[in-house]
Formats: sequence, C-alpha cells, structure tokens
Amino acid sequence: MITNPGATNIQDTDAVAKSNEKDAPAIAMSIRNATKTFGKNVAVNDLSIDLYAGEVCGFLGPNGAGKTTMIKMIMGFLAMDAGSIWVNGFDLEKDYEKAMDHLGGIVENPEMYRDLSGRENLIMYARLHGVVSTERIEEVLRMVGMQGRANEKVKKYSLGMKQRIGLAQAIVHKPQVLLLDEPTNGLDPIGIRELRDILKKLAHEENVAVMVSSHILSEMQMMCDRVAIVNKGKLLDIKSVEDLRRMSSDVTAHRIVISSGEKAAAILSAHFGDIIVNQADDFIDIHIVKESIPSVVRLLVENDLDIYSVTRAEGSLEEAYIQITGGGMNIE
Amino acid sequence: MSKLFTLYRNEMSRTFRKASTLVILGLIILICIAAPLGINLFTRKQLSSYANQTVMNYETVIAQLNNKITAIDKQLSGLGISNESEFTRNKLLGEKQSYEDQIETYDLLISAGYKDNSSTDLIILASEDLLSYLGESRRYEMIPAEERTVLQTDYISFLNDAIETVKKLPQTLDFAAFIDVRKKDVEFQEKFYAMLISNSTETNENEPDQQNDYGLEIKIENTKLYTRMYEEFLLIDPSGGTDGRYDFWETQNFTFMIQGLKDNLKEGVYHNPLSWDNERQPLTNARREWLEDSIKIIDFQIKNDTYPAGLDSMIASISKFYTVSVAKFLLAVLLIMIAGATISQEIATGSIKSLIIAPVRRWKIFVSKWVVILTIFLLGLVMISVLSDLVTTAVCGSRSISDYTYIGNDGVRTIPFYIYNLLSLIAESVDILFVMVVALMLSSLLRNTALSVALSVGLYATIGLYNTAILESGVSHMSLGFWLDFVPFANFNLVSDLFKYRIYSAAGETAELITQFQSAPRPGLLFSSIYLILVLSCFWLIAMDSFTRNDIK
Repeated sequence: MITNPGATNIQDTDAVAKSNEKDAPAIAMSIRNATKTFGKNVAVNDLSIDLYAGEVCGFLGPNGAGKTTMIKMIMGFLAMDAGSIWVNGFDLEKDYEKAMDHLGGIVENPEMYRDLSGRENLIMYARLHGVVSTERIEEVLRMVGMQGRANEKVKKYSLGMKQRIGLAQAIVHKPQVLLLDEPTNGLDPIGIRELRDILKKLAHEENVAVMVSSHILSEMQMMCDRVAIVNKGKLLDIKSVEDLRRMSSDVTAHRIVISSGEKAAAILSAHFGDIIVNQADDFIDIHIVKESIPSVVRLLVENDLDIYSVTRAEGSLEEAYIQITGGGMNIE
Repeated sequence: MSKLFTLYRNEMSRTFRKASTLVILGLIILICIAAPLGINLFTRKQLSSYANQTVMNYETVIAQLNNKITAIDKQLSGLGISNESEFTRNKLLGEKQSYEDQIETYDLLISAGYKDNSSTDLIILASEDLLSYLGESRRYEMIPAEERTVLQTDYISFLNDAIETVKKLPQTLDFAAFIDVRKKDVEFQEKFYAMLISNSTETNENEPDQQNDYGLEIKIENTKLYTRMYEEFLLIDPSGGTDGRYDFWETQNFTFMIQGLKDNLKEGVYHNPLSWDNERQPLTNARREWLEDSIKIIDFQIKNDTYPAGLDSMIASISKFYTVSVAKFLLAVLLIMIAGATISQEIATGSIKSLIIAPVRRWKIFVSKWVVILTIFLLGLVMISVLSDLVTTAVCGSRSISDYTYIGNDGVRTIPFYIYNLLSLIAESVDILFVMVVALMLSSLLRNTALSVALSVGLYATIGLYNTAILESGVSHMSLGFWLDFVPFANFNLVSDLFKYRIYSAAGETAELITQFQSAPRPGLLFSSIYLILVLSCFWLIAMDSFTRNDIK
C-alpha cells in the first residue's frame, strides 16, 4: 500500500529518491519531524524517516542516541512533543487503534504477566488484535521455537525465552510494521541466527516492514537491508547496507608493507595530514581514497623506501558508522 | 466496545489467577460459612449455660426447705425451759411455719405443672404472680372476717379466683384470662392506693407517708404498663412464648417499645422507651411521621407474623453482623490491594507493555481496569450477602431473617430480605468504594504500589476511627460546625436514610432506637449522594488523566 504521509523529510534522501521512482516500494511507516525532550535534554530531535514494506531497517546509534525513545513514541509509551507518525496510512494520533493494529513490537526487554503462562499471555494479547484462532497461536509459537515451553509460567522463563514469546506477541496479528528494540538481548547465538532468519523471512516473503534498533554493528550488517544512523536524537544518515559498505570503501583502510613504517608515517603525515590509522616497524595502515594511492606510492618510493605490498581492507559498516558519526560512540 | 470487553475479560481472568485474590476470596467464603456456624454454637451454648445458672428447680427448693425444717426440729428438741429458750423456740417455730408455708406454695406450683423457673414464656410470669397471690391471700386470710373491709373481702375473693385461674394456666395456656386477672389486680391496687392516700391525709395531714405512697404508685404504674405490654405480647405471640417461636425477653422488649411509641404519640412528646433517662424532647413533625410509620410497620409485621423476634432471629442478627463485618473488611483489603496495584505494579513489572502496544487507547485500558475492580466489589458484596444469608438461614431457620418493611406511597410495602440485605450492604459499603477510588488514584499518580496500598489502608482505618470518634461518641455535627458535612467520611452513612426502618427488620436492633434521633444530624441523602458522586468523580478523573497523559518510561 502506497501512502501519502505528508511532505518527505529532506534528511531521508533515500526516501526522496525512492518516492520519485515509479515502482517504489510502499511506505509502511512514516515518521515526520518527531521531537521529544525530557527537561532540557532533547532525546529525539526533528527526526524523519520512512520505513518500506519488505525491508529490514536497522536503527543504529550509540547508547542514549534516542533509539528507544523513538520506538517508545511509535508504540505509544511516550507522547511526542512535535511531529507525526503514520502507520500503513493511518495517523497514529488521530487513528491510534487502526494504526496500532498494523504495528507489532518489542520495547526493551519484553515483560509479561508473570503468573500466566507464555501461551496465556500470547492469547490475551492476540484477543486484543481480534486474533482468536488457535492455529495462529500454535503457528507463531512454533515459529519462535516455544511450543514446548509455552505452558510454563513466564516467571520461570529466561530472558531469551521471554524474547521469543515477545516476538510471538509482536507477530501474532501479522502486522505490516514490526519494531524490535534490541531484540537479540538475552538470545544465544543460535537464537540470534533464528531471529535473523525469521525477520528476513517476514520482510522478504511476507512483505513486512521491520525496524530493528541496536548498537551492535555486526548484527545490523547481517540482518538489515537499510540502516538509519542516529546520534543525539538526530538522524545522521540512512542508507542501504551495500551503499554504506561502498561508502566505507571510498575512503578506506589500506595496508602498506614497507621497509620502515616509522619513516613512511612521518613522510605521509607531513604530506597528507592525519591519514595514519596504525603503524608498525614494517607496515602502516592509512585511510585514504583510492585515487590517492599512486601519489602515496610515488612519494614513498621517491623517499627511498621499499614497498613490498599495498592491500585494501574490505569496507565495513563499522567504518561507515565511524565516518558518519565522526567516530563518536560517546554518550552525551 | 468489543476491545473494551476484551480488555475487561483479560483483566478479570488475570486478576482471578493471582494467588492473593484467590486466598482472600477463599477467606471471605470461609468466614461466611464458618462464622454463622460458630456464632450459632457459641451463642446458644452461652445462653444455655446462663439459663442453667439461674434455674430454680422447685423440688430441689422443697428439699432444701425440708432440710432447714429438720434442722430447726433438732434445735427445738434440744431447747430447755428458760425464758430465753422460750424466745428462741418461738422464733424457730415462726421460721419453721414460714418454711412450711413456702413448701405448701411450691407444692402447689408443682401440682399446677410449674416445675422450675427455667421457662422463657409468660408461664414464668404467671408462676411469680401465683406466688404473690398465694402470699397475699395468706396475709389477708389472717385478718378476722368481721374486721375485714368490703374492699378486703372483695380482694380475698378475687385472689381465690386468681389463684385458681393461674394454677390452671400451664394446662389451659389461657393467657387472655391471665391478663384479665392482672388487670383486675391493678384495679384493686388502685383502690387500695386511693384508700391509703385518703387515710394518710385524714390521719396526718402535715406528714403524709410520701415514700410509701410513691412506692405504691410506682408499683401500680409498672403493673399497668407491664399488663398493657403483655396484651401487646399476646398479639404478637398468642402462645405467650410457650411454643418457642419467639424469644420471650426480646418480645417483651419489643412490646415495651411499641407501648413507648404509642405513648409518645398520645402524649405529644418524644421519649425513647428503651432509655433509662426521662428526658422528653419535642415531637417534631418528622418524629411524629416516623413514629406513626413505625407503628404501622410493627402492626403490619404482627399481622403478617413477620416480626423478627425470637432466639433464632437474635442469633441470626448477631451472626450476620459479625460475619458481614469481618468479610467486608477482607473484601476492602482485597480491593485496596487490587486498586492500589492495578496501574503502578503493571508499570513497575513492565507487564503494562503488552497493553500499551495493543491497539487500544489508554482510556480503555483504564476503564477496563476500573470496571474489573467495580465488578469484584459488587461480586464480593453479593457473595458475602447471599452466602451469609444462606448459611445463617440454614443454621437459624428460614424465619430468622425478616423482610424489610417500609412505608411506600400506597401503604406498607416489603422488600424480600435477600434483596434488602444486599442493597443495604451495598449502601453500607460506600466507604470501601471511596477507598477503592483513592487507591486507584494513588496508584496512577504515584506509580508506587506499596505507597498506594499503605496510604489507602491508612485511610480505611481513619474512616473507622472517624466513625467511632464522631458518630458513636454522639458528638453533634452541629457543635463541630457545618464544614464537617464536607468531610467525605461524614457522608458515608447512606444506609440510614435509604433504609430508615431497618431497625424493625432485625432482631435485637430495637436498642438502636436510642440513637435514632439522638445521633448527630447527618448531611442528608441528597447532599451526601451528590457530594460523594462529585468527590469520587474528581478522584477517578485525576486517576484516568494521570494514566492516559503521562509517559510510561
């Protein structure tokens, strides 16, 4: 379903581009100029983002970047100071129940009624979405691998088991938009892989728009199609994982194995500025665009240094992240 | 609406899965079943042990008197012939004669069918009267026939008839004849009194024997009063209490009260017939109306045999009071725990998340929670009322609980007791409703379960203290000022206005007449209702506003 949630945010350049395409994917959720302050602290600052059907979008940022605050605003825990959110074409403020009907999610750690079993919690929640079919309940329990433990009381569950039941709750009503806040917390490596598979399947086979917040880059890299990077409540950039990798490979690390690392570092610093990432006796790692590599090689040779090899490190999300956030994982 | 219902259904099933809910509800059920059984056993045992302590068996009394006579005979046989011995002999012979007379009297009682004084019916009164008539008869027979006045001769004749009538009473149970005897006795007493007054005036005009005159006057007045009372008694219970359906002493109190009410109307004053003081208050229109209605209600109950006197009714009344008090307290604790935790605990444990992320507006979550609390409140009261009524009725008999009788537009009307008991219990539980709303408000505002529950329990205790301090100490509202009407607690006693004739629907409640008009004037049903609705609505809206507007972090 293609929606018209209002003016496209200039920050979300990807969305602008996509909305201009003829066969652009449907916007499942649109956040416009969302702002939230706690006292003097601006937790979310004029943030706009579109989420498309069929994608897994990472919501990446350091601790305190405003990821959870944004998800809580979408899920109705916190009121926005300004802005609007549209889910599947419904304004969250005006058509709250209709909008929420298309939304599923986990906020922070999933908490349920401890005196009830996982199945009972799931049934209660499903009823509110009008889901009464036992088959669907069993299906999602199977999907999250909890069918064998669903009758146990929640108070006996580990965090990972709660995450699984939380995920079952989030998808039981087949939402168009799925928001997961740090969903891998408490999951073992197998659980994380299963979660990844489930989310990819939901997005790519069932056309669900999935947004996953995390500060774990490797996880995002493996799980997401697109990544939105936020810091200090602001959206810094939003790109596909491939684009980010490409971007990082534009200005990426190169290792030069050389006769004197120390001398090479002094020469390059004097000539190119702060490009040295790492240095040792027999090599240096530099950050530089590929077009500058011949100049670097020429300069080193002219200075009587022997070059044994120049290799490019593979582009990673981490590099792009550091580049976009200015290397800052600092919490302010 | 369907989502609201689903929320309600979820909340109900969740609340009834909580161990604390189940334990307290179980305790309430246990109290409603066990307390009437226990109170019934305990009260009957107490009453029977009390009765056994005061029973005087006439055969035993005769045996004791015979022993005394044997002892006197021994003493007599050992006496010498001195003057001193002669004096002692005469004294002992006098005592012996007295004992023999008493034995003769008790023999007469036994032969007439009076075995002891254990009966709780008019027979015991008749036995006392018989002893009195026998004594009087013996006293007047000692006056030589030629010296007797006409009045004394007539009185001796009356006494002989009276003795014969009362002697036959255990067989005939003709209490109307017994009442006639009493009335005639009173007439004779009045004549003797008039004669005494005239004699004392003639013989010693300056110093009349005022004390004796007053004593006799009081005695006559009392006998008249009691005779009228027993006439009323026979209207309620023609068996005179012998068939055990009614408790003699309670019925006697009741008839005493009716007399008092009728006298009040006749004399145009208000005086509590059960109060020992002689304070007379003006008979205002409201009081007159209440008295007239009361008499109509009592007449109706007597006519329809629904008057709630009798040992069973008394025990049922005591049993209901204690059972309902304890069960209500437990229900209040349960509701405070539920209301005080309903929002704060969900936020603290995080379980609120699954509600917030559901497609329902927050006000619906709040309303569903409130309706669940209200449902438990009403279900709890229904359970307490019906269960305690059923068990009490099973233990004390179906006649032990009376329908509520009141004056409607078209005369005397009744409400079946099961419905009346429930309605009055609900009206009496306004305090619980109030504390529930406060607990909910605190839970929503403070978001701290322990604090919300503790403050609400404190408030509930304060209400109890307030009732004790202000209402039961008899301190007038007026003396504390009009502002007291605006203390919410002062408006909780709606039941007194809604069921103002409730004292006639439960045994043992007649003593409440004392407080019927003396208690502090309350703000009135209309003021109290409107004021409570306003206050509770404000608290409720504050709670909802706090829950729906504030962030859940």
